Amino acid sequence: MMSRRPTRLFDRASERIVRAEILNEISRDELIDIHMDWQPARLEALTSLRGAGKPWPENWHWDWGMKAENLNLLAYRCFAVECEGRTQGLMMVSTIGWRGRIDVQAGKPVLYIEYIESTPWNLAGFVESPRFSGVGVALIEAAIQVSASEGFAGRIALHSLPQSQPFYRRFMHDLDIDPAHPEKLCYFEMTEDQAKAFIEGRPI
Amino acid sequence: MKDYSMSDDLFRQRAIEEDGCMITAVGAGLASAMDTSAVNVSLHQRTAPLVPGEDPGRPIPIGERSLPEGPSGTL
Repeated sequence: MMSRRPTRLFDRASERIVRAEILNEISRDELIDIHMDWQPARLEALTSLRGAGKPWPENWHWDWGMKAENLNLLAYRCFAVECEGRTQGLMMVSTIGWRGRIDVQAGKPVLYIEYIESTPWNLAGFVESPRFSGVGVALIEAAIQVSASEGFAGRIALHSLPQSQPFYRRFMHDLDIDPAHPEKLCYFEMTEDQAKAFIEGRPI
Repeated sequence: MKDYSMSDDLFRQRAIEEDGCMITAVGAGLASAMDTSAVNVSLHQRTAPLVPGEDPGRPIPIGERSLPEGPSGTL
């Protein structure tokens, strides 16, 4: 059953922190609704980029409606960041079957982020003036909290698209290209200590 | 259990650092489980159907385009 808890985002226009919510346990139908809400903005942004001759982001074609099919599997859970009545970001995680690779946590369970994305109007790759910042921070914070609640002590992992690697490199271990990944993406892992540092503001 | 929530001041700092950058990640499990050939279609074909089996409706007039080179994130 869906639940909500408070979080916040950074309003870039007013340069103020604004109240937002993390929605837990997004359903398949809700995910499809969110995809339909995002799609016009995605297409509008892509049209502008095409007209300007600018490159398209690597996630230009993502379809959360199709990703929703995986929510029929109990292993996957989906979270959303909501602000001003609209979904600003989505994340799908798995709590089953992923083990740490870094020495300090090798073999220990980690929360694995299957998909994560901010809505197009929040991304500099899609629009010139993104609306909110901090969607990624809010979702990573939520992932750490889920990891902790599962008994994983804040340990998380993901495979990043090339365009997003600088973001994750700031606070996670970069284990380089994973030859086992179907798209040969770089693998990132956050240790228990890095999770605490991320939350407490200590150098990572 | 430890409280894994950062302060508003720290959140503000991290959000400013994020600054609209891309945060996309693609899981290994689902990417390998899905039919990746489905992404090798035009934007027109790709964006129209939201749910498999449903009527895709009116074509979206944004032109034809193949996927860019390199990793793109399945689905």
